[in-house]
Amino acid sequence: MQSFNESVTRIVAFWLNETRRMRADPGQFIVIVMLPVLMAAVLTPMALAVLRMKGYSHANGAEQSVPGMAVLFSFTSTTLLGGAFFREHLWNTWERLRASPAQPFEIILGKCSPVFVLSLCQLSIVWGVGILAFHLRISGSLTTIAVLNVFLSWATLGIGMALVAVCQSIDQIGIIGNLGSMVLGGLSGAFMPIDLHSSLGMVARFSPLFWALKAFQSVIFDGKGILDNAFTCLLLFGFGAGGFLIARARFRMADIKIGRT
Amino acid sequence: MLRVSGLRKSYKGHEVLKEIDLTVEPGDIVALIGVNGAGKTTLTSIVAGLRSADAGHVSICGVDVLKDPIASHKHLGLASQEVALYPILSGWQNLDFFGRILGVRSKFRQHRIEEVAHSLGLTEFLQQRVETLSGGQRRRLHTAVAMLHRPAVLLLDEPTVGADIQSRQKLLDEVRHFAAQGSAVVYATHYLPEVEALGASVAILHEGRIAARGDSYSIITRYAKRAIELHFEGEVPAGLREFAVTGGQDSGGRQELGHAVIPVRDPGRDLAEIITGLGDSASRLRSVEFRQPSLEAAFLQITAGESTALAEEVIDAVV
Repeated sequence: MQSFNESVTRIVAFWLNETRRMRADPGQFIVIVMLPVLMAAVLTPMALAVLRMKGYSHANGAEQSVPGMAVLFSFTSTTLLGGAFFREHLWNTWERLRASPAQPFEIILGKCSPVFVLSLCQLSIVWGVGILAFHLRISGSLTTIAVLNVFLSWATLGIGMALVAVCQSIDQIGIIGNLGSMVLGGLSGAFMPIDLHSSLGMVARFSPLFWALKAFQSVIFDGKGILDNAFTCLLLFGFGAGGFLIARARFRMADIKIGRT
Repeated sequence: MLRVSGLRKSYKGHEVLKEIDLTVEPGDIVALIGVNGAGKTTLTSIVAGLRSADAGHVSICGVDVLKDPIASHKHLGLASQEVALYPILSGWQNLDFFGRILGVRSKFRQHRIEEVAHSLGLTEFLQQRVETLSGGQRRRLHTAVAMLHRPAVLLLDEPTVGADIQSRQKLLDEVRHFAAQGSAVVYATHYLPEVEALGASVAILHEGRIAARGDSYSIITRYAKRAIELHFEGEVPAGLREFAVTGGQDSGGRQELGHAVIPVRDPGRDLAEIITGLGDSASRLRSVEFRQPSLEAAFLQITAGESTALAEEVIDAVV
């Protein structure tokens, strides 16, 4: 019991430390919230034209641009997670953590959970601005959107943790995170709808962003619910779990990582 | 307490530590000294459970560090060579976080933070971001983190590197105080005057072994020879050069031109004989200084290898 209490205390300490760190340097979070909102504003007129061509006569463009940018920029949480781990190496505090009574799972949980919450905040803000500022109309329920947000954040967190385990430097994870966001998002139709039967559409099926976007649009246009998107939720859970399994196999506390850009 | 026995460690076939045995009792301060590459950091890293060992045994308060490093960490405070702090957080936030991680209970934590900050002269800087602190203040805060949970074993790896005189003095005072309260302290350093200021016993690590172990007095008595320091115009005469110990090196590690330190037994008699033996070269002699036995002399004697011949051999060679 004492051991359990000590574990909880340390996880809370990591949580608190991460949030203090992010509050002290909020630039990165502001950017990953501002960018999708700005991009959605830019893309909405173009998305409107495309949606009207596709027969959505009542669409205002936000149905494509808001979920598209929410999904695209959700992947940037991998760089937030990378920062949470790699900066410890830059500041030499990783060695201090290794010489503490903290168990590896406490460190990982304590660092992943704030990023998970931040990812949910990011998505919620983008959806909120979409509804309030871009007049996005959602046929289905907001609860379904919220549940899908949770599974999408889980998927990107798992992939982020796999990248933390595999990458050697903060630059690597930054490049993969930002480039991955653009490439996977583009492939998945985050900028513009894609033809599902094209070769691009076939490749997109390997991206969690594709499945998330497809599910979000089924809620927006067709009013689908959680059960209708159960398969997507399962897939997103699988992407996240796969990432954590890779991390479990490759992550070593003793690995030397480069935290300096 | 800390017990190390039969510890071995190799990197790519190069044996860095060879059968290290070391015991540090509660209240003891052991200064671990050695030249760069002697294995000090490797030894402290293994003791801290950060590196594995090839053979041997390390225990802290009876907990086997090599088998269960995390359990041993409850009893360990580590201040590594590099300052390890969160620069964008305040000093208080750093101490609060590490206090939580190190198991300092919430009702004592604030008091303990204030106590350790006061003893290291950090109170007025606690609310400042670490990145705004001076090098010496950061170094003190770094050491404060290691002391926060009153560990039974405190490992300090060159804790005063880059620290100003005031910071150095505060650190030394606090290390002495900490040991007096019953902690076992291992203090790795290059600064030998600090060892004497701490009243620490000494473990000299040389070529992967503890080459000498004991209190400063016994090490000096046993190993340090008196020496004569000779300054010449131009180069040191050839006959003397090979007997000079490393005290005559410049900052780049080269034999300093015209400067030789010669170990002797009877300075007065031996100097007279060396000068006689110098012959014509004696006219180039500019100054002579007598060096008293010191920990530095003992250290040089132990680590200088073959350059430790005594005056008789020097005189024979010169004459």
